[in-house]
Amino acid sequence: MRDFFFYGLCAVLLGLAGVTVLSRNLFRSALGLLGVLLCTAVLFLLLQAEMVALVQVMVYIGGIMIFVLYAVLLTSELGGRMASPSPLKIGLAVVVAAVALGMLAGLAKKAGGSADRVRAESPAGSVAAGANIASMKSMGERLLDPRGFLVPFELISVLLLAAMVGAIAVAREAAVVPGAGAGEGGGGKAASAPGQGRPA
Amino acid sequence: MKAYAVNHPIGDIVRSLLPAPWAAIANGALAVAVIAGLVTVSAIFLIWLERKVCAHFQARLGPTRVGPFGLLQPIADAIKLLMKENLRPRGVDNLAYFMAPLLPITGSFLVLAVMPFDHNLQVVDLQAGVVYVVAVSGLGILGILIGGWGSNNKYSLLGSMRSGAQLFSYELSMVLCLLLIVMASGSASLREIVLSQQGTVADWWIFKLPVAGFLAFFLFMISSTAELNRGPLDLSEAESELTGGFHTEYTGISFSMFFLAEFVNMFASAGLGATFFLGGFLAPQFGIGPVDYALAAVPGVIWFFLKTYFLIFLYMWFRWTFPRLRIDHLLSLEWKFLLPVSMANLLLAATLVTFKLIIP
Repeated sequence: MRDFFFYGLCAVLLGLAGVTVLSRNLFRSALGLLGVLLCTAVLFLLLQAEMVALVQVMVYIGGIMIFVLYAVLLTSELGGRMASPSPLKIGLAVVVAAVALGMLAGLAKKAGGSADRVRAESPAGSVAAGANIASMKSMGERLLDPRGFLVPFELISVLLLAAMVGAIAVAREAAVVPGAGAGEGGGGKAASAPGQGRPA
Repeated sequence: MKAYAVNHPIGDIVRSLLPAPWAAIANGALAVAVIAGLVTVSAIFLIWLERKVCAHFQARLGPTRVGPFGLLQPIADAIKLLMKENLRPRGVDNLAYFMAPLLPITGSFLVLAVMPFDHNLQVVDLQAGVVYVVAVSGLGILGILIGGWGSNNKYSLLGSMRSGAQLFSYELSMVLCLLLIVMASGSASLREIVLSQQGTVADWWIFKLPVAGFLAFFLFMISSTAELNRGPLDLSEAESELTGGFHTEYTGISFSMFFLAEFVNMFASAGLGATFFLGGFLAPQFGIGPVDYALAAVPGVIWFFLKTYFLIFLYMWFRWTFPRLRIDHLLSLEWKFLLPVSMANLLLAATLVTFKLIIP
């Protein structure tokens, strides 16, 4: 029963991923990505990682997808269709995808082997152990423990802050010099975006 | 602290009648049916209440003709909305246009699934309940953005971006207020948060954390009013100043889905406020023997609904009392005032919790 569900879910996920990559309409791509992220959250639920699934929904669907949709709404025309990419781009994409697939397959094989070893060593059932690792309490403790992931966690927030300040600085520079924004085309359009929400 | 029965008698009857897997399915179906019933009935009742409260604030009587006190008026309204043709304007994106109205109502429906109505009235008690609530309430923003784009109308698009910006900004300070209570109670499960407020009225989080609790409640009420798209912060509709916003093109049942979601959201949000700050389903206790005994005899679910409807009344009071803000004022209120204050408040509460300065 669970296997059938898993394969059905994966089929849906791959289909939506196809929509995301192949759709000529940017908004449809974004909706496809939304579906992919939701299916991934369900996959996490199947692994009994409730917390990871919820964070996936909260961060990716509640946060990042909304920003993606915003970017699409601000930049693309309503119902606009993108031109087909050139054959060279398609070829490059296929090569990159194949390499990434190979690396992931290698990783999956390695991880599967080690999971089998763990299961052989602890007959108590790896499902229960997995549920413990991904629970809210243990995840929080590992994240905020100085011997755990506290330092990387804080470093990531510094990195994000730097990225945000950088983005604001870039957008601001274009907005202050009126002549620079007009000639730039795409860059000027993105820079005028934050101003669009403000005037009443 | 004594332990309470978590199983509801009806659930126990189902479990005794059916074998285990079927009983789980039957109980799940029952729970979903009850929540669905609650969603529709409370939405209809809230529409009536909104019209009545608004009318009395404006020295009118409101609906009086259909049924006693006009109680059947919203049912007539609902039938009218359902009978209307569900128009599909030319050039809309079919998928986006018809998917969008379903998302906000799904979000508020899902929030009710973790709401603790009583000791034994909660569909599921997640360990990460607060994370779940925040996660599924994001669906409302998505519905608005997708609907605004799918309508193929520049007013809808502008309105959806405006309300998207509003909802997204105000979610930050609302989540910070919820985080404060999670920190103080030491748990993210909604049931545990309610149980951490046992004792007298002074043990509710609004009073138990000196200053920080009340401030958090205040900030929660402001930011959730904005989250609910209600006046004075209802810039996504603003029917008297701006075109209807993201639902300009919607008619009939699609429009009523957005409308319904707004009212169910109000119920869910007031329920969250009651759960986090006002002791949820716990009866108010004052430390006076006989009074406490009498109050505790009333079932928790009634206390939950009383507190929730009190907060709903506050929302309605705000709406019909304050003038509407302009969009730039609205966003600067959030980013320049509410967010810094809620962060400072979080810091204050962290200090109080660390040094055990909570009023016992």
